[in-house]
Amino acid sequence: MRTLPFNPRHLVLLPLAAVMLVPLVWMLVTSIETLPETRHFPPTLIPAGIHWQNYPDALDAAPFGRFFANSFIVTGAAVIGNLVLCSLAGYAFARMRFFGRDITFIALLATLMVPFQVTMIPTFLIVQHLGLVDSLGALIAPNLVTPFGIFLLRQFFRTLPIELEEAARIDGCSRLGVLFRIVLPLSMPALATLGIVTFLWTWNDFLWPLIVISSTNQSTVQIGLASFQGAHQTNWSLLMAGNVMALAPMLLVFIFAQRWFVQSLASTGVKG
Amino acid sequence: MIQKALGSDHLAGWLFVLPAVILIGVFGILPIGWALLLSFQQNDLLTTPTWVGLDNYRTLVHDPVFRDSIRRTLVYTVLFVPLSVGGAMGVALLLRRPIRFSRFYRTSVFVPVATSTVATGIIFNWLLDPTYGLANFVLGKIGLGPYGFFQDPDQALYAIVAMTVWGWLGFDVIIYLAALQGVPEDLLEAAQLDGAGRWATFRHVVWPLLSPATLFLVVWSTINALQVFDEIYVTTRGGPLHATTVLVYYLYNQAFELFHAGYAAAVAEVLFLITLVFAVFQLWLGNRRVHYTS
Amino acid sequence: MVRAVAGLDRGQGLSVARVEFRSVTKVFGDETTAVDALDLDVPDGELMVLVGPSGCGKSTALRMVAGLEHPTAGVIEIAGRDVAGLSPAARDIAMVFQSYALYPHMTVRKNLAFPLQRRRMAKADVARRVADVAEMLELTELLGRRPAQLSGGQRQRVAMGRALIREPVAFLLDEPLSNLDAKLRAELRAELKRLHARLETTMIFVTHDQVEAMTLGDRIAVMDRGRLQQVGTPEDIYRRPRNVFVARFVGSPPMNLLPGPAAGREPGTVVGIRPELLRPAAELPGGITVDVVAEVVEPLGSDVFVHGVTDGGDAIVARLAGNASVAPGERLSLAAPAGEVHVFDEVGGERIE
Repeated sequence: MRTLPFNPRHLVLLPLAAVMLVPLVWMLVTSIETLPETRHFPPTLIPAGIHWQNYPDALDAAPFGRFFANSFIVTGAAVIGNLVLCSLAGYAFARMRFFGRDITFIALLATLMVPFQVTMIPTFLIVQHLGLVDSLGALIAPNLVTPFGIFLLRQFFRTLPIELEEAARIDGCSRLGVLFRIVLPLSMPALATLGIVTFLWTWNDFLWPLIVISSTNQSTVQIGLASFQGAHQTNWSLLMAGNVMALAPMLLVFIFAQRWFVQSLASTGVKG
Repeated sequence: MIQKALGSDHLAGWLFVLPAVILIGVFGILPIGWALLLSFQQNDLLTTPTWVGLDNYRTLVHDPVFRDSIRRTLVYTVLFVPLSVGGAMGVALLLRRPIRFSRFYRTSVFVPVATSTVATGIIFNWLLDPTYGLANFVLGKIGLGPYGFFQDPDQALYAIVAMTVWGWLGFDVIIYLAALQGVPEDLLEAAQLDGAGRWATFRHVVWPLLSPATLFLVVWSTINALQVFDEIYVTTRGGPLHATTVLVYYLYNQAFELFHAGYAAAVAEVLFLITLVFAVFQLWLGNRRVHYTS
Repeated sequence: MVRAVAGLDRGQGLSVARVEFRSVTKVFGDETTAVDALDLDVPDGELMVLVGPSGCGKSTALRMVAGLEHPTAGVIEIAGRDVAGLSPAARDIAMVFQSYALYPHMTVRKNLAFPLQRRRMAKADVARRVADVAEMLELTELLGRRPAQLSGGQRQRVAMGRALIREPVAFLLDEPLSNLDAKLRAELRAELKRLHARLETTMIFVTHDQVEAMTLGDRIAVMDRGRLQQVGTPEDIYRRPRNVFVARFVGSPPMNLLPGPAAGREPGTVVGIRPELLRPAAELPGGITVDVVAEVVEPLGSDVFVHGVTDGGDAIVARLAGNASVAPGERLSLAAPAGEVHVFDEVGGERIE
């Protein structure tokens, strides 16, 4: 029944994998070429040597270290903020009864309907009033908690058996204690999902930082990279070196934690 | 007895949600209302705004650049959604059953999802460079091109489509692979025994069982497509000759480069409306056609 | 539950066929031999039960008949025809899966109609057949429901219906009753037997439950680790097990095994005595006697199970009449009729007598 010596699916999958990987591989190759090698047609597929110098040059041309630091601070704060605040709010919406609970929940969720582009201008004005323009605070404050995270955790908490929490309360645990000692340890998958998705989204965020940050010292990796490109437009080897550095952390996280990554993204769709 | 002890927790409940409510109130709800107000103002983000009623909207209706930006956005969306969602379904079906190198294939499909929109734009700027880019080199080998890509007004938008599909396909594949796990193997075997060939099995068994995931991806992708911005900013800046000026790019340009914030707010409200219409329509259509199994 | 419906009984459209395994072997990629040189003949209209512990190869054998697996060696014939190279659909067989494999997004009606629609049957004919099968299996009120809205027993019947509706030459059933509770299982077992009697089609039924095998099958094929151990009527298997494995597999509680000398036979043999054949020695003069110290006594009303130990240290289970009174720690002398004792070779486990 089989006419080919190999599975015919390879005929599609192999070119597909090539198309997916070649841009990244090409970026890597270019980053170790010399400038004259890049300004060459046909393109220099195999460079004469490894021109590592591009990397220190890129670091000199723009403070990538600073960019990373800023991104880490902002992303870290967003991840922690979301994990803590969405847990608190999500738990309250899931298990507690209080006046106005359902209306508040719906109102929070409803904000997801409105695209960011609608609210970004007034948010800029708010940040301006708060005196946070061009500071990391402007990047952190709006991202400390998202309705999506609250929704995700609330739904998850509701799937846990309530008897565990009741037993803990009878044993004298406070509400907060139940949350931190019983519920959260059982919610690792959902917390991991929220953490990873927040991490990915905040690290790669571009439009909001673009609006609110103007100075190099406060730039995140994405903004820094964009202005780096602006300054060195056709210095391809230098540009690619900068690009590699900017991409490296996320790609490494992805390659080592691929399964978590993939599972987290998958569960957003299944619930959505 | 337990119920009474755990009864209602007005104070505790509000304390738990207060930080979130305040933050989302300030950065989420307040801006929504303010945005509407803004659209009725003339505002340059610095000086005191003035009230102009519906003027912004009237100008919008007659603004050819705005109308064109809607058209371009729709063209982009109509290309992006079927290509990324449909393509992802095909890829997921290919990856579903065991095959040699499947881990390699999966990783290579997922990796672009980890790249940021900015990094993707920079890579493709280089890749599609008309003079030195790899794309024209490879295409030349099979007798095609050379193409202007981002620098050709007739090609730029399509190049953006290709670039963004590259970046997003993996996410859709992840969703579909997860959904495919819900289609048990013995269901496909039963279909085989019932006389269904490959196409019939797909059409009558796989496709219906995937329809919830398809609906989610179509709605999600449409919303994202209508809001595309980052990649355009990093590559074509809305050009050449406005060829890639989509709605959000126009919005950004008006608000933060020309400081017509009031006008931009009106543009944003229109974007909201378009998004809402699309989403509601798709969800309505979906609910009629999607097969939920319980 | 299975009512008389014209048109689906023998002689009015259902053809039957024999299924033959000829030295069929299946080796999986990781070098496990699932089925080893299976020779088995299932004649026209027989209900053959393949039984054995999990991993014995029974499901694999069934799936090879269905065409879902391909034999590594050997030939499978259905209705006299070598089916190698034929797709599952072309083999004109139907299968009921352990999980039922009902299409969750289709109503019962559509589930039943699906196989007929695949064969491009005219709409009116499809509707008629669906109605007939539904009536036969008492599914008529459920036609508009989805599988998720049905109970386990109802789903099982829909799965049967979907198999029946094609009027295939043979039915393959892969542990279809395993997911049901004991009571339902017993009911459906009886239904299945009645169905088979009505339709008189060839059925191959796979189970790990020896009770199911014994009650259902016209003949039973006992398998272990890919090899056929014995094939025969339930009576054959019970009365004349070919080896120790079969002897212990069939019958509950399992047959007692004693070293030969403990029951008056030569060394190098193993003697098997069925628990239900043990009586107080006084009642059976001339029988093979065994002295036992009772350890656990389980009164069940109709019977009394006595678990004990012989002087030689071997475990014995005896099923005595309900009125027997035995106390734990009591010493008993039990006997079994000499002619009903089984003797096996110690090394190979094969039957000697």
